[in-house]
Amino acid sequence: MNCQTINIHAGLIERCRNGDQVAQYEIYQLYSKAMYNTALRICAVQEEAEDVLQEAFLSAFRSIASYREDSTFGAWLKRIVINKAITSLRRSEKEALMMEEVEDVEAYDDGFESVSGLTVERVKAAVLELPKGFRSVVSLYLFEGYDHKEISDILGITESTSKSQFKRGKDKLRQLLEKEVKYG
Amino acid sequence: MGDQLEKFILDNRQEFDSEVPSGKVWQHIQQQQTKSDKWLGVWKVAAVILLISTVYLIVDKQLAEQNDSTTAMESEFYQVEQYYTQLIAQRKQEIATSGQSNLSREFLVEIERLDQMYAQLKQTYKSQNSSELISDMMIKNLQLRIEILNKQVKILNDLKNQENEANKHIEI
Repeated sequence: MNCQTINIHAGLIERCRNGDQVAQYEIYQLYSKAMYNTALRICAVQEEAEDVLQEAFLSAFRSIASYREDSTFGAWLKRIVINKAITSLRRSEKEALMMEEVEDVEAYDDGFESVSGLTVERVKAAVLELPKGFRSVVSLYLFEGYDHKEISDILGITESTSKSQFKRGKDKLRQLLEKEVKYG
Repeated sequence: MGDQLEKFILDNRQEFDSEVPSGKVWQHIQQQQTKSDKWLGVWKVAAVILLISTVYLIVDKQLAEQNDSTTAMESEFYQVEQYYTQLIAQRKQEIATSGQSNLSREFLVEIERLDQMYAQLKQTYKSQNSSELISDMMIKNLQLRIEILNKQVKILNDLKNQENEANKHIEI
């Protein structure tokens, strides 16, 4: 069954390997929306996210021969999008991704019980308001489903930094959500 | 972990992917791809040309190196051969026109035999990739023929002189 989901677009991918432009467009149609939202959550700026999307698809079509069917095509493509988005994030501003160690991880409260009236729009807006260092870790963990080991690989940080950044990011997110509930 | 926010995001994960990229993105992708395809084509052609010319130059150079020493030797040898064969033909002509046909015939048969030997040597020379030993033998053969022909010419000349002397005596 797992095999089936992996090879769901095997025919399309094979045609892309042969440079079939129709197949490439179909792949774009299938994946561009999800990939764009992933890029947007990291970059927070529409144009930047669109540039990332463009670069990622071009790069994927160019290197499609290197795609081994040990992961789904979507997961492979998403990894390209995320790498491009992180690169773009680092390039756009000199500001570091604020990846300092936080020793006392447990000191951060990770309960969200106090936040009521959650809506998709509200959470989306709050995520985009996060500082970029928090935003990348929070979105990779909460939205893209990577664990801290994988996030540490993607961002080139230690696993404990990823964990502490996530805790702090989520704390910040909660503050932002509470503020919106209060004033919005 | 499983807090409210995480659960909310998981439950509504699809709805978070609601933004749509502008149509320009695909346009740009297509433009870039045809551009890169074009450049790829140009590069492919350039690479093939470079490869062919490199292979040609390498092969040419190696062949030239290989042939360099032998061709120099060969051309030198052919010059020598040409010189001798010309000389031999000249001497043969002299003997043939000397009028002493009876005396010359036997001698010319001998020269003919040397000619045949020479032809054989030349065959071997060609098949053995211009061996120096064979070319030396060929040159010796040529020299021998010249020597014999020269002697014969001298004999004929001496004979002529003797005849002339005799005639002079008779005239006197």
